[in-house]
Amino acid sequence: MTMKLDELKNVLSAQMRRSEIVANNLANVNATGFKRDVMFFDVLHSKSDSELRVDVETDFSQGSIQLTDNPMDLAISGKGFFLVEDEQGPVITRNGHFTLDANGFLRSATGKPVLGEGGWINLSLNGQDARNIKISNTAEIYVDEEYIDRLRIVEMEENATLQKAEGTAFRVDPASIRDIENPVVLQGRLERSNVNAVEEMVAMIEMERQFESTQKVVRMLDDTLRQTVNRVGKFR
Amino acid sequence: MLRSLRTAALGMAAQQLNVDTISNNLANVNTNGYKKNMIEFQDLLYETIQSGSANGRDGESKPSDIQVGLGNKAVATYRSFSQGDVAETGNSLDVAINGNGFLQILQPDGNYAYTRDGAMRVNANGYLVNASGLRIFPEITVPEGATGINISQDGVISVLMDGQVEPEEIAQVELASFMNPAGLNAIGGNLFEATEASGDPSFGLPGEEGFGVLFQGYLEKSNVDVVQEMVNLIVAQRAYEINSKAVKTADELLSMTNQLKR
Repeated sequence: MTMKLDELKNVLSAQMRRSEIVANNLANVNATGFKRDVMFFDVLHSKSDSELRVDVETDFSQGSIQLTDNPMDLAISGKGFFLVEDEQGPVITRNGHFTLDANGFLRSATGKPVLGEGGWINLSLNGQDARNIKISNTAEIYVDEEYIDRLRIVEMEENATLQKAEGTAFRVDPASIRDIENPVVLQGRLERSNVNAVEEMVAMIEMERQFESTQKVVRMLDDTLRQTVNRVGKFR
Repeated sequence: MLRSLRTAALGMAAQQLNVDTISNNLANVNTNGYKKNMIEFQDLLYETIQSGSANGRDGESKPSDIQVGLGNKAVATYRSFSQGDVAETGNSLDVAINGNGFLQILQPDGNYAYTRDGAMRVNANGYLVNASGLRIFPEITVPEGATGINISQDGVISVLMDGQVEPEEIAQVELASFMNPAGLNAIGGNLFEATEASGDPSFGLPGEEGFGVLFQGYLEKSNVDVVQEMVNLIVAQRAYEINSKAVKTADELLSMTNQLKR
């Protein structure tokens, strides 16, 4: 009997965890370059009946691309990530909302330097304000028709460790990063979050109802136990 | 207690800020030289629930951990300095800047501010001032008895004195430009101040490359696109609504948990 209660507890806490994941997806429905998380119940790999394993994977499908007309906004169509330098090493991101800092360096939305083939990218020609910035589909940057650098568009090797970090970025092992050959970069566009509100709402309803029915089972079991204690054990 | 409750509440707060920003843009749809504000959202910290190596199935390590995100926040509001529409006013003291330059304004506290609003007036002492009475820098005085004023595309101001036929050059308008105008700090009254993020201004004359030219008798209107803002407002409202549903669901989960024991 207690064994059964344990199992049910695992189901309830897994559903709770799912609600947290769905809530995070919904909170980021407007975040540029956000990739949704999906939770799986890993029933087949459970070693015992009482252990319910869950897996959370990030869905890297393409988000919709929106026109912004800001020359510093970039979106990647298809595979690849922008490479950004962080205090603790490189991070990769699909968020191409870049700005220039006071010295003309290209920076990500969180203020971290964006990396090109030559390292940090400086868009000011001879200390002048950068004007007329053109970024080709192949990620080559031109200021006033003059070639500056090429953005590094990277991916990681399969099965590489990947951790979500603050600011719609992913922390990866630097050794697993490799440049992709034919990236498609779109200037003046941003990739929106790939969260689909309908899907998340359905997931939320599903989660809530499963939680509810599991809760009913717990109460029924509780009832049965009560009956057992109060009736079966009673001698008349 | 339940992370999803707080996560969804943060999502609602972020969308609230989004609606505030959009309302301010819509309120300034007719403000001369107004530059629309936009907001950038990002996800927050992720909490790692189990480490990949410890939970590998059959001894294999999993490619990723279970991470639960803690919501969303607005990281930055930024301004789009795209050119606003230029409208004719017929007033000879109105100038529109077609390009990246800013007019310099001397504030009462001695600091400089920068503006795209070229609605100028002459005050009682003959100084050229902006619409709220602050002096344009470098200071320009219009001599008494001037009957006509002409501002050329490259910023030369000339006046026609009473009784004279030839116009007389009296001053030259200077413009400022910034490496990163999006980093300017708006201080109200259509004015901006330089910050560390924007960089120091570089100065030049109208007509020089990158500063733009002046159009006399025109004003630059706000660059707010009403249709786009309305669409953004709908998106923000729906996102707010959907996050409120997540709050409600989290509440129901907790209520059901409470009913586990009778």
